[in-house]
Amino acid sequence: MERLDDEGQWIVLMGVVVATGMFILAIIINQAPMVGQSTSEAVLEFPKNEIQDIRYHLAPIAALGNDTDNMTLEQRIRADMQALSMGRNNVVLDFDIYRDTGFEDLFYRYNELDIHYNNGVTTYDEEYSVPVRL
Amino acid sequence: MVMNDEGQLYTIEGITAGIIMLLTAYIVFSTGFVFTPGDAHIADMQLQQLGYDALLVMDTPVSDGDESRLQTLIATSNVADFTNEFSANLSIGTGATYMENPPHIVDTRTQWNATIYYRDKQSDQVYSYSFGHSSDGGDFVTREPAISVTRYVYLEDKPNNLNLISSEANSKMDDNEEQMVLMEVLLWRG
Repeated sequence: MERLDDEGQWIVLMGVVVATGMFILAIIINQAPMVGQSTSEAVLEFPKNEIQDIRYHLAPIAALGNDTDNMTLEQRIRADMQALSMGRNNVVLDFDIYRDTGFEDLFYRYNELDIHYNNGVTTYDEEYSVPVRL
Repeated sequence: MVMNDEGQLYTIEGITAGIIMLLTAYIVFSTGFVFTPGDAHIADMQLQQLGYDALLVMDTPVSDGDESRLQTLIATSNVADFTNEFSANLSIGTGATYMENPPHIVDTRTQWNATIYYRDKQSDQVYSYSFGHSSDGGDFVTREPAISVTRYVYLEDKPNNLNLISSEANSKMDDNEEQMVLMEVLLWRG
């Protein structure tokens, strides 16, 4: 059996170190696009803008008083938004407004606005206290 | 014949290396490749956010309690001004991306089509009418998939001059009644 030549061990060791380093860098490059990809998927999945839009339009209605005209308006808006949500965005939408919560402080009383939102992927329920200036 | 048993370690090493190489080649060539544009969601997400933001900007009144620009345009059935202003909002760039010449270097390939959906109270059905579209893009040969953005718009009355753009909507929408309509914009890049 021939004699093993054990010269140049440092060079071999450095070779191993460099190879391992390149391997790790390759894994990092391989994973980098997935970060943007999964973040974008998560953003697309959660209908943030739709929910904010619904709340933006419902809050002024929840701040209205208790008289008959406002009740008619609330019924009309509920029917419109339920039909349009289901028809165009595949969303089961419902909301309730409670005007006799009894919560008030020095300047405001608070009506409660409950929003229910379900598009089959995201279910979202919110209780929102709408301040009404006394 | 005398057996020469020198270099046995080299022989074993060579056979091992050969097996490893064959195995590697086998793994590589037997792998199934599925080529999908992996970054498609990133572009979709940015386009969707751009659309929602443009609609939000247009639906935000200058002073609290005022009518927003989007409400005014829909309430007066002003498709021409909506087309100009929505297109301008979509192509707004920062100082770093905006160029004077050629103008609007950002997003000249973003195209859109806007529709307004409303509920007919009598039949409880959803109907629609068109509310403008982008003018560029007729000469583009390809396009990317469209994404949809929506925004509710509160109307205090049936829009004025509605008969000029849709006689069906003019006959179905209720006069003198507050209602909620849904503006849906399809956005895509050509």
